[in-house]
Order: sequence, then C-alpha cells, then structure tokens
Amino acid sequence: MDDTVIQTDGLTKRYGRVLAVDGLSLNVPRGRIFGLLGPNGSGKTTLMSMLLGLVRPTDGSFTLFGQPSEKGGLDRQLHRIGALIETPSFYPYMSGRNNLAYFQGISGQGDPAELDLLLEQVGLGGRGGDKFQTYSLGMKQRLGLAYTLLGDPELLVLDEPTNGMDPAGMAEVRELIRGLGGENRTVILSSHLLNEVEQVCDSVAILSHGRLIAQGDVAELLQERGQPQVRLRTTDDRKAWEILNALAWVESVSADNGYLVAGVPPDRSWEITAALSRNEVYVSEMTPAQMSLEQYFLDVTEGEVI
Amino acid sequence: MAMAMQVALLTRWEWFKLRRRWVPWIVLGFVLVIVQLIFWLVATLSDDVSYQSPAENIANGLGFSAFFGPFIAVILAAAVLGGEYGWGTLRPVLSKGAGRWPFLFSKVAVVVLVTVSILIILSITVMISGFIAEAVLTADPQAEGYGAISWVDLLALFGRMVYGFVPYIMLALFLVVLTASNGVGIGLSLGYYIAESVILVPILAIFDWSDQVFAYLLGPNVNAWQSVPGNGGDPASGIATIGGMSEMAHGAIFVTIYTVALAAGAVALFLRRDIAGAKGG
Repeated sequence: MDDTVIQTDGLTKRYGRVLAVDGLSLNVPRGRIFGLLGPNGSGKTTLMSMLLGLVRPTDGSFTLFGQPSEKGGLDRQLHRIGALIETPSFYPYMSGRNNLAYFQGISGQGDPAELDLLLEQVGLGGRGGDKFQTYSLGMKQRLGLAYTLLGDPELLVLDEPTNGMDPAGMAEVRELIRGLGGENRTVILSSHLLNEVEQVCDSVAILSHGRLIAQGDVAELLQERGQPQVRLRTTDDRKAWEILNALAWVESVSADNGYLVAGVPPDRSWEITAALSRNEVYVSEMTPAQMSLEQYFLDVTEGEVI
Repeated sequence: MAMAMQVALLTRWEWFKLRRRWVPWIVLGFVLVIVQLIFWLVATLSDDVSYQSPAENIANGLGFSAFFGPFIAVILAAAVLGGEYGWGTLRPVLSKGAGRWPFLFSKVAVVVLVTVSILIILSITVMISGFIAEAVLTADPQAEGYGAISWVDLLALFGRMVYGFVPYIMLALFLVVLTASNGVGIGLSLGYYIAESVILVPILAIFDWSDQVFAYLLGPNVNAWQSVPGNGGDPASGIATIGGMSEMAHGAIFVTIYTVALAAGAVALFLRRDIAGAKGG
C-alpha cells in the first residue's frame, strides 16, 4: 500500500494578479493527522479546494491515493474522501438527517442505518430531525463533521472544524478527530488555532503567501528549531537572574509568566542548581521548556498574524 | 453507461430534495388554477359550447399551458440550480464525487420530469372538467369542435409541448450558471422571454425585413412547434420558414438548435468554473 495519500508537485493557483498557491510540493503521509497552518490568505483553502476538484490548478499536478489527478477519475477518488471546506453549507429547508441521507445517496455508498449513528457520534442525536436552518453555527459544524464521516472515508479534510463551537464542544471535537486518525485513515486539519493543531496533529505543513515554508512531524520541527531551555522558579528570582546572566554557558535569560527561562540544555540543569545554591538562591521548580508551535509559527512566518 | 447510471442516481436524489421544497407545489397549484379558470371561462361564456372529446379537451388544456409554460420552466430550472449557488451547496455536492456534468444533467432531467408530471396532472384535471362540463352545460353536438384529435395526435402534442419547454429550461440554467445567482437567472430568463414576445416581435412587425429575423427567434419557433393542430392540420404561426419547410419542422430545428447551444454554454461554463468564495459561486 502506498504510504503517501496526497502528493502535490508544483501546484499553483493564480486568480488574476493574485498568486494564491505558488508551486506547492507537499506530501501527506497515510494514517497521520496532518495540520495545515498559515495566516489568512496563505492558500490553505485554495489548496484543499484544488485537491477536491473544486478549483482548477493553474499549473502543477497532484496525486490522490497514488492516482494522478489529470487522468480523470478524480470523482471516483472523491468517494474515498470526506471533506468540509469553509463554513458548513447544507440545504436549509431539509432536516440534518435528510441532508445526510441526500449526500449518502448521491455518493452511492453507505447504509441508511449509519445516519443515526453518525448524528449520535457528533452530538446531534436529538436534533437530527430539525431543519438545518434552525441550527446554531456549532450544530452546523457538527453536522458538517457527520457529513465528512459518511461512508467511512479513508481521508478526512477538515477546514476549521471547531469554528463557532463553545469550549466544551471544541474539546469534544478535538477528541473525536484524535480518535479518527491513525491506522488506515488520514486527517488533514486546517485551523487558525495553533494549540488545537499542536494538541491534535502528528505532522504539520506551514504555508505563507501560497508557499510551503515548513513541513514535518510537530515534535521534530519544534526540536530542530527550538533552542534548548529550562524554566525555573527560585527563592529569589531577581538575584537568580543576575547569577545566570553572569554565567558564560547560559545563552539567554528571560522572564515568562512568573518563571525564569534560561537558554541551557536540560542536561546541564544540575549546574544551574549548583551555581544558584552557591549564592544562597534555591530552586523550587525546574522543567525543560519546549518551544510551542505558536512560537515556532511566529518564528518561521516572521510574525504574520494568523 | 456508468455516466447514465450516475445521472439517473443523481436525478432520483434531486427529486428527494425538490419534493421537500415549496416551488414545485406552488407551480402545480398555479397551473391547475389558471388552466381550470380558463377552461370554465371559455366553457361558460362561449355561446357555442361545443361537444369535445376527452382528447380534444386535453389538447385545449395543453394549448393553454403553452402560454405560461416558459415561465414555469424558467422558474423551476432556475430554482433547482440557483438554490445550490445561494446556499453554497455546490461545494459539498461536488466534494462527494457527484461529477459536474452528471449533476447539471440531473437538474435538467428532474425539471423535465416535473414538467411532464405537471402536464399529466393538468391533462387529467382538464379531462375531468370536460366530463363535468358536458354533463352540466348545454352542449351542441353539431357544433364544430376544436378539431378531430386522436389520442396519437394528443401524445405527439404532449411530446411537442414538453420538448418546446426544454430550450427555456436550458436558457435558465445557462443564465444561472453564468451569473451564479438564482434571482438574476430567473430575472434574465423571464426578461428575455418577455422582451422577445412582448417587445421585440411587435417592433419587428413594423419593418419589411422583420420576417427574416422573426424566423430565427426562440419564441416564434416554439410557438410553431407547439401549435395545437387546427382543423386544417398544420399550425399557422406566421413565421417565414427557410427552404419551404413546414412551420413545425422549422420550429423543431430551431428549438433543437437553441437547446443544444444553451446546453453547451451551460455545461462549458459549469465544467470550467472554480467553486470558490464563501458560497462557492
């Protein structure tokens, strides 16, 4: 079985003078939860729309499940995908359940009994018979998720799936997405919420101005880019700051949320303890500090607003 | 074969959606009320209420529908496709692998099927009204009827009525795809119909050369094609036919040309257009 679900090669989309996606070459490995990050207008939605055949690429090509898009048959591949792009749009005069029945019907896949299970799974069990136009944005997102899960697809493409949800709903949906990835199913998650991506995704790709600027496993990216640091609290942080600043092997010292953050590899933390205690400053708490995805993102995009 | 199966599948599910909307039921109600009003008006006000066979009554009813048929075809066609743009549902439909041209053709199929159904219901109700009129009104069996129409003639007329509405369906679909809007599509389609039949034709009648232009317009050709045969057999809609062909044959050719051209335009646009933006238009 091919280990790559999606492979793009120089994929480009131009709208008049605007270059929405610029020669993007990207691999999405099978069985991963893959985060797509980027500021507004970075080309995330255009990229996903091209992969779904909604938008025609200006240049470049891609393969879906190993099948080239140009050879036709994209519609057949789409039966293996559940995708929700931008805000969930369904027929307002039909119930949530009838909307799902329609989309199940046109895809020619799945069992009608699946519909009630899906509505339960996304937390709409009691509202499946209500018209879509009566749903709140959070409920529409939930119906959108149920729609993507129709026919048990191999690939899920989710664009801001927690948009409009309350915090409890967001946590519930994150948990659901985490449970969906793995084994034979791949999830592509586009989100503005960096902590959401960090919590849920195994791998990420970061886009800026339509270009791919970083791709890889979340942990590896943060490790590669991040300067080793330790976070500590002491009996006298002011004095500790002065002591640590005076040490040549400490690369940096900063304050963050009531902690001191020292640019030191965690395996040298005992030396910090020793240096501080010699000056009668004692450590009350010390942990290795990892760069957050947010810090990483701001670093590689040079502070673009997400 | 696979494509035909896909169109059939999508058509079935188009009906699933359409029957849950108000549009087809309002159109059906409107048609029945208008045709019954005309029928009873003619039957009661005419001094020469003639005895007519059920086939002749139905032919009359179909003849009435020729006046408002284009309106119905345009409203139905624009509603079934325009709604997708308005609600932003093209994106989830096409993301499920429906296929662009099977989806568009399923729209045409469901509008044609609904039009056929409406005409069948109209025919049945007019036939029933005919029986009632015969029983309650004074009929003169000697009076000249609408014409001797057999059931075979009636079937042919029914087919011509439906086929004559197809270019209006295509016109509405083309304009909805072009403008990505339900309302604008309906407005432009009806605007074209009204401009052609109410404004252009009377203006053209002023000029000597107008016969040549008149023969190429959609409305006059549809009229020629859909005309209910009179006693003389062939209809007389007044278009200057090309090459001495009959008016009906001329109408058939131009109805087909308009249908193919508008369908080709709609398909070409629909296949090429990006589904982008908030509503996917």
